[in-house]
Amino acid sequence: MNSIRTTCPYCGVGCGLQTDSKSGNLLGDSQHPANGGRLCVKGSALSETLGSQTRLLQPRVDGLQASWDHAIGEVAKRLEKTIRRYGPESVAFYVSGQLLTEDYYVANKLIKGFIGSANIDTNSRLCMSTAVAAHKRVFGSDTVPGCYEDLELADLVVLTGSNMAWTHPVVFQRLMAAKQQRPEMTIVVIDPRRTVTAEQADLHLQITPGSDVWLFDGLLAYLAMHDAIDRQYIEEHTNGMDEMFMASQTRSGRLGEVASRCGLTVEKLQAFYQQFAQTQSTVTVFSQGINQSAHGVDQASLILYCHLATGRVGKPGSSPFSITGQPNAMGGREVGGLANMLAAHMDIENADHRELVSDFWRSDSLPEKPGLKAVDMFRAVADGKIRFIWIMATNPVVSLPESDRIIRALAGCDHVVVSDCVADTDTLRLAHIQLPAAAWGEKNGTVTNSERCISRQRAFLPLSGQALPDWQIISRVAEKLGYGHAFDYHCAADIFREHAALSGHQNNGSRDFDIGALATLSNAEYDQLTPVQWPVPAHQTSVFLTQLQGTSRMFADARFFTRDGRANVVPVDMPARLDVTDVDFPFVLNTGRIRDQWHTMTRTGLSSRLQRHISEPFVELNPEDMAELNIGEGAIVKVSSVHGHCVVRARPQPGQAVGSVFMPIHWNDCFASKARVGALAPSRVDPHSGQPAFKQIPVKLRAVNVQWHALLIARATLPLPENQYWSRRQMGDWQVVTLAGTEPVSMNTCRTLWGEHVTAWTEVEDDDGEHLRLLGTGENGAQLWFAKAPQPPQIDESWLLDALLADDAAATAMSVPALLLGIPADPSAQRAGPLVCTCHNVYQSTVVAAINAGCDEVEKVGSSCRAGTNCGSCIPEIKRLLAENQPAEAEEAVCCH
Amino acid sequence: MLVSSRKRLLIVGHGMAATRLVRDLEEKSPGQFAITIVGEEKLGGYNRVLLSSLLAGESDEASLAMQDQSWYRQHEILLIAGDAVSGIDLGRQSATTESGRKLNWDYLVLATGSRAARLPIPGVGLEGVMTLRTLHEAKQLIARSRDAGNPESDKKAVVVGGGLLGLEAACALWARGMQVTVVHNESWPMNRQLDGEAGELLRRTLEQRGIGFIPEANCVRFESDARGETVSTLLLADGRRLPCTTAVMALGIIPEVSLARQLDLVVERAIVVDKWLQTSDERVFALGECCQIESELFGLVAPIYQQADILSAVLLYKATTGAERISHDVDDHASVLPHYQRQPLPTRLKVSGVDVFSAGMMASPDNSAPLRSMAMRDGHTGHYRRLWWRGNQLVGAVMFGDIGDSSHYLRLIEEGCSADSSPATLLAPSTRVAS
Repeated sequence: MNSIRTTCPYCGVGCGLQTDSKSGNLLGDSQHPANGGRLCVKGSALSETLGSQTRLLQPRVDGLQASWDHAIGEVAKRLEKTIRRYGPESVAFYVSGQLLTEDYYVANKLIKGFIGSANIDTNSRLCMSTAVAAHKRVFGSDTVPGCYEDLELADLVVLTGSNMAWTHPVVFQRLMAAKQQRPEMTIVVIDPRRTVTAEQADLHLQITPGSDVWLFDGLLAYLAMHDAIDRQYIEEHTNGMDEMFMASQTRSGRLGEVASRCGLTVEKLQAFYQQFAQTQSTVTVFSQGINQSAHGVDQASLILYCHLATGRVGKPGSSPFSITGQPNAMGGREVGGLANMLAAHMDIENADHRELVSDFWRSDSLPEKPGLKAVDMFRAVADGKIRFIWIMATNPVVSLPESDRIIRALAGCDHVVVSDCVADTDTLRLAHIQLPAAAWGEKNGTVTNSERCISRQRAFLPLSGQALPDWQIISRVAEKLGYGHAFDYHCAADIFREHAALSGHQNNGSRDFDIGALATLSNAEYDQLTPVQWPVPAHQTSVFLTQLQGTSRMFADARFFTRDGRANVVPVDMPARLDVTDVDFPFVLNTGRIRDQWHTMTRTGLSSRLQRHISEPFVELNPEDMAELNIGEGAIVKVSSVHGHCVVRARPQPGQAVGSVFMPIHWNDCFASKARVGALAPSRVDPHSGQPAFKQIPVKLRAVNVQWHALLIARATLPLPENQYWSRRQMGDWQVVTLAGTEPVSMNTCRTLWGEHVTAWTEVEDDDGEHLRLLGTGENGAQLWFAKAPQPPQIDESWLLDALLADDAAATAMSVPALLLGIPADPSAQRAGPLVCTCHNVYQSTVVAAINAGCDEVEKVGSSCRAGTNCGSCIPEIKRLLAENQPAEAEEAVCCH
Repeated sequence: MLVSSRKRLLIVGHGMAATRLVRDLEEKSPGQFAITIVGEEKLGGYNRVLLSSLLAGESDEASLAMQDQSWYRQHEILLIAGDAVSGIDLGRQSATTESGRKLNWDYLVLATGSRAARLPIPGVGLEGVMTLRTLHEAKQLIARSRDAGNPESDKKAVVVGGGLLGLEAACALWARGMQVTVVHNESWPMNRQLDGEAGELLRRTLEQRGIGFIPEANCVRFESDARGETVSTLLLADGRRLPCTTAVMALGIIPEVSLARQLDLVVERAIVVDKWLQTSDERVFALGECCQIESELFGLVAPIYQQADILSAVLLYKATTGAERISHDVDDHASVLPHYQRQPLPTRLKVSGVDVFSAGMMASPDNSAPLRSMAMRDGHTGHYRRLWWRGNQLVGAVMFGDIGDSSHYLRLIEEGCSADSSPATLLAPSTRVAS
């Protein structure tokens, strides 16, 4: 078997993978520039997520299985009917940073070029559109000037609004490795939460939620007032900087005021400002904490201004750096997948660009106005202005704000088409037409990562069922609509060449995105394409692939893609009020990712390993707030905003500021009773980018008064007794459901609910049914295991899952009491606490035992129990456990002296 | 003279209590007393607990002996076997036996034990209607069951009483090939030790073996065969006639208190003693099945061995210090001497293949706060266990089928340490026992 190289489908780091030529397993690609062979936990677990058990394998129309011909015909028919009756503005595509560039290009071309509607927007609206808007406003183009290497070269790395240790683990590891080599490098983390990333920083600025805008305004003022600016650079390469300095100094010239706005001490603030002022080689990485804000574009702009003012743009080890969340958010931006863009980084409102693209596509129906951005698009669906929507590779019912309204909007929409690779998502449940798309590993194309690096995703698996690549599905619809001549693609390479040609078409250095050099790749060359950072302009066409020169950094010459080549420093609006809370909703909810899950869990949810780090939807809050609200650890809590509510489990988190709580974005109606955090978020968006403010949501919390907690482990999806809360996860052959409720659940209730699967019951029951344990056995061994108690049943889950599986003769070979208790009779077999190292399956108890046995460094812990020795994503947690558990050894040493 | 300087101790009865008492005395202070034991059985001092095992063929007669005869000789203990004390003179501190022997004593211990209860119905005098109390009776039963395993034999036994002894006897006779039916006046077997669920499991197990069980039964009379001498049927109140060639009455025991009554000692259901085993006469003591402490009566070996230990200490103390009545009023006594403490009495059914364990209580004795209970049922094996709590204190345990954790439960009940009413206590008691 040949080793096949491909690119990871998860975050925007865009790591290279290769299949092991012997085992077929997926490994890190040591030749890929992004990761050099490293992988994070999610990437390491990809092999476990490739099964077909949850795949959508056949088209379905109105609930019935359909042939592709019928399904494509129905999509085209309903699309045409809608356009005929309500005009092209009544149709929309909602696409995704998970699509490949080629799929994206075709979707954008169909709707903008031929249907004549600009109503195509993408889930990148929820993550990157603020960075796009800031880049365009300031640089004149959506250009990320730097690259990952800059983080390794810098003397100061500022991470703001990024929990990089969990969200972009491989870049974080590169940073940590550099820091280990050059300990004098300083890392500053700006985050209202004390995240694992913050724990690794030299300086953590735990700011008031949303106050980044003041922090960077104050920094700009500080730089000007302390003459820490590059006067020549400002004069030669920027417009409007002095006016900006004036405004910032007036607003934010007093450290004390800024410090109190940001909730920091003057000393801490000053330490950061000084460090920034005196460190020429500085990289500021910004991510969702900056982007998902009602004043995101302004605060992102201020970051760019600080770098322009000091001349630190596009230089080795010195640049602002927007890091993206999704594998191909950048590719989507390149093809024009956002409603306010056209194609190849051209603008829909620019008549020249329209003419250029029109000519290139031989189309005469290009819209002249931007289409609706995500939030507005779904409002239009709710209002009946959009009557046909085609959703591809994304799950807006989970990811959009006010998501309960999204459900109602889609439920009331005339035609909902959803292309997806899995069979059940919250969104798919509302689709009239379901189209099975090829999954990662089955499809071919390209993605662009956060450092503008175009990498190939290659198929190493056959297509599942009747699934097709998205570009084929779209092209077949286009053909049915009568646009076959413009969509006559035979392979992904055909599309890529067209896309590359368009980027170079009449470019001549006038537009940042130019990969004209790749427009003439043969199919074979496309298949061989090695990772390359754009731009790769056409004057390289004569060069062979092996000598293809990408571009690591841009703007080193300080020539920007504005009319006059200078960066535009435009005024920003400071928010009148940062505090979004009031008496009714006194807490600020922050949202984000956890280490081992991706988006709405359709893929990562299939790996048992990835479910063991954090296994339930939760709200984290400071222990003081828990005491105040009378919420115990593990209590079921209702978190409500004005828009909706969630019911999740409480987790104490001292790193959470008082008054500030955190929830993960991943859980949804497929995995929990009520944990869609989108239901809480308001549709409050940044006025420039349209990106929703997911990071500061006013909420209230109260404990749900449940009478019992329970755990159900079953081979099949079983009906549940009446409850106030459930969350579900797949652990290999077992489905594990955590439950809590108020209504009594008796042994008889359980036996009635699940009796058809069971031939013999083993059980524990007390007089009033407060405590129940059930082990139901059927013909093929254990079928289900259930525990109910006034407090959450404490079990050794991984042991129990193995034990249940090992069984057949559970009743004889295993200790039945231990099995019912869910804890091995032999205490040394116990695996307690959360899973720390997902790669090597090492639990917290084991790591702590290693530390107690004298391992006082991460490396020693690693050589003792293997934790942290593969992907390294858990190293920050091992460090924390080291900090928490060190004393025993140290004290002993003191005693010896 | 050496002999006269020793206090004379007369022990009436030579059962397990008396045997244990002399062993304890001789261990603690050999030769302190001139001891005489009078027992009415020809062979005394054997382990009566093993009689059902002997009947079942699982033990032999030799293994019943608690001390061999040479031991008594070595310790200069006078054994009078096959004779019974017929009269006692408290004033003269003497006793006479049926055979006319006269014995003087300084201290008198009544260890007269108990007699097997018999049904007060017609026909109990028929040949074949028996109890299982003595070695002699056990041997008779073995003789009656001879050849029962033979296919032509239709030797049938009825056991009246489904308590511990009744079931052991039933299983023993069954093991010897007899067809056995147990009739019981309560709803399930071993109802004092088992809850209804465990009782039902036990009944089913017995029935699966072929041992019949008739609950809620009232016996009317034993009827004889044509010759009018040997039992042939047991008639029940519901009209059922159970054919039988042997009937064993296992209805419990009646403390043997006739001597005590003659002496005008305080006697209720048994001879009333205090926690130092003193009767109302300071020179007279009682222990074992013939005594009661407060209202507690005794039938199991463990508390009786505790009594033997206490009484040996009390006797030695009195003999060496000349102390009169031991009481709380005299501080020394209470601090120096052990006294009887009630303990949970675990019960195990000693029947091969049926593992049953019971300890502590299943219901609140005073009905103040009802006990909480929790049970485990194994649908594959039929194993069952149930625990009872008062608050966070484990007070009772019943196990059926698998009794592997019984020692842990017993410790939790005995030590009174906190063991919450959670599945962990039920399923992993070893983790709750303080190491």
